[in-house]
Amino acid sequence: MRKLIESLVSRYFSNPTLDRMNDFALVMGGDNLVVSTDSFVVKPYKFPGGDIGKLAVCGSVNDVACSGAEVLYITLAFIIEEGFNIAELENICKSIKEASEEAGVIIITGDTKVVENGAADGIYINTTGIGIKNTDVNIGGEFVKPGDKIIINGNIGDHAAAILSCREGLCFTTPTVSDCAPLNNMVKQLMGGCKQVRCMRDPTRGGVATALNEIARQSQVGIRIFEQALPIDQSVVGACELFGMDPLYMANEGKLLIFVAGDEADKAVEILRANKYGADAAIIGEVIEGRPGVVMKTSIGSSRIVDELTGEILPRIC
Amino acid sequence: MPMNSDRFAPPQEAIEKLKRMIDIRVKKDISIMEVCGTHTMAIFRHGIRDMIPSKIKLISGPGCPVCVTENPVIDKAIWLSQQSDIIIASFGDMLRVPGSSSSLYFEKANGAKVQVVYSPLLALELALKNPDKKVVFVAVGFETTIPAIAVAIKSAKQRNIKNFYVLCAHKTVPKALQALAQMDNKVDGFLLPGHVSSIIGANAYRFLAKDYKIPGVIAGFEPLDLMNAIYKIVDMIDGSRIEILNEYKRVVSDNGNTKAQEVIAEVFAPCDASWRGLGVIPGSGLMLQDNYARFDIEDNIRIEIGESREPVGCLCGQILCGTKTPPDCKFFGTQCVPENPIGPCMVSSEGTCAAYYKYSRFERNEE
Amino acid sequence: MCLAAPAKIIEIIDTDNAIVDIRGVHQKTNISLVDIDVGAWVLIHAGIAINIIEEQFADEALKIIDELDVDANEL
Repeated sequence: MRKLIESLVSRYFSNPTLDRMNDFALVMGGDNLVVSTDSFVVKPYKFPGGDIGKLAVCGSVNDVACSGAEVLYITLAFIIEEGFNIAELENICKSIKEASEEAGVIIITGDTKVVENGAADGIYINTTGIGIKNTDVNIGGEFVKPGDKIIINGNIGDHAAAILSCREGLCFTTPTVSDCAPLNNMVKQLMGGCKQVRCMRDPTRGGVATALNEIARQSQVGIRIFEQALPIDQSVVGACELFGMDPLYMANEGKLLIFVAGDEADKAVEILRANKYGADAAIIGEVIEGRPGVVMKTSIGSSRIVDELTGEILPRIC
Repeated sequence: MPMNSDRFAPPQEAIEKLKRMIDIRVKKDISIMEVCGTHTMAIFRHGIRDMIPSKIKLISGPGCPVCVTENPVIDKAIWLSQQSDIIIASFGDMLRVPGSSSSLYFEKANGAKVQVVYSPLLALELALKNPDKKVVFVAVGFETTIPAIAVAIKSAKQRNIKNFYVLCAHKTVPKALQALAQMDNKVDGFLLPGHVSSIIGANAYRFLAKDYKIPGVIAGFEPLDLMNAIYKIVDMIDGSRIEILNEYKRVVSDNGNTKAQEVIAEVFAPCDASWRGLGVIPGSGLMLQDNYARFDIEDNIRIEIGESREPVGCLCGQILCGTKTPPDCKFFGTQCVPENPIGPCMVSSEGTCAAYYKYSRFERNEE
Repeated sequence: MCLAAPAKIIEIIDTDNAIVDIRGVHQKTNISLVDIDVGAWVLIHAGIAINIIEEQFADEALKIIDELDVDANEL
């Protein structure tokens, strides 16, 4: 199996750095190196709109992009179960190649481990994204302040709904596909036009609610979002009605929460909407004084707290 | 983002009007109990308490079938999940409920075969796919859910499926309401369940007005439904009129869904049931009729559980009756949190403690 | 206690089963407890249609508003 995997890797990912076949890669870095690592264990590994390979590239690319850095490289490590279907593995490699080409990143080093049958849900992938940022760019959850506006680049909950439709025991079909996408080019365009981006975060596990709560804690600010402003596809609303889920907690893989200074918000939305991954961008909230936490103004004008996700989202009947 | 069919979504001005009318009409402190966990959640989710004066106290009652299920049922389900020839099929709601010393979620993580299903009919399909295993469905729920289980059991009999079983833990609502109406600190009005009512019909509640002089409104789950129901209760109390009003006519009729009632009566018979917080309520449970008894897992296997222990100091029982609120419990928000629940009221998404924790444990960030 | 979603019948499979549409999501649902045709709206819960949503009361929300106007005038 190892030889088969190695031939796939060299066929799909060949580049001067990787072809040197060392256990390390030499890259230029310096003071402004940004590094982010993530492991991907999604089940099923193939879903409407993508697969674990695409997810693995986009996840780490987006995490690095959120720092305001130019994303340059990723590392790629596979853990594969003995007997994993080679044609499926080839498809995953194709997805990785396509996603990394779209993102403009080079795979510079990697690893493969084969484990016994039953030990890895088929396949797990780890990627580490590496980028370089300018010294004067300071973006992070700790820089947010009252008056900032909060933008999201499109519909929430798509990825979670797509994954859910593959789960046994639920038996439904949905036109929704995962929003999994590399967003670094969109971020680059945004940073080109807006100089006061405070923070960017991808609302993955735990959804928008959890990511906003994290940022509120980091910067010790209040956050208010507006229920009517949240962009959401009707079929995701339908899945939520059916299974008793709240779209605020559903994972997204092609979305960013973007905090900008209030006076740049409209411009930011305009720039995002010009990019294919930001066509439905909208201002969804604002940063306010007060107790760190997130509140939502509901569609009827009342106010309620939006807590972060605790536990796992399980479909329910009550 | 509207959460129900847009035909039933509220115009803002109607909500504002109802708010004003409630403010004008409510003259004294009144308590309204909602006995449907989905109402508990809807009230929190839409911030309804924000829209009504503090004179109106909304109390959550025993409306969450997960919360009122006592530990022995969970302990039995856990014991069954540990048997190598059994697959437990369960609604997602039950998975994280703590029993005396474990939960189905914990057992699943440790290798037990526990499958979350959206419908008992899917549990039946699971049985067909796994002929060498016994598939046991954990049958918890009120009258909204009971028809689905009755249909599944009836189908299992018709198709002669030999490896499908249920662990019976159903409860029925009207008897519980009667028990609540007989308590000393009775409430001034009931917000009555929407979907249970679509099965049992509005007439099932007339006794509350007639025998116990407590008004009630059957309501849907949209903000307009809830505000309208609260207004109607306040209006009845102010005008000294005691009635049961059906404000959810789009799915609730006076007699309910008679087909559903028939299939329930065919498969099940009433029996006594023990409710967390309320004790044993005669006739409030369901057991299988004799000609369906073979589907009861307890008729087929001797389940050996030790003594079931309720957590000492947990106030779930009193919270379910509305005599205490979550902040009254010493564990609330400290040792008892959603990631590590002590009692079921914190686990179930409709549990009062979970709703409180999620939506209101801090002061709100006011405008 | 009971999450139920309004859904439209889009295809009848047999006397006991139909496909329903909930805002674009499709699911097979048991219809043995309701008498309906394609195009009807039903309330679904745990894989089964538990009741029909009555067309005549579908505008209940609007009726509430009409009644409100009457009530507000009386206050």
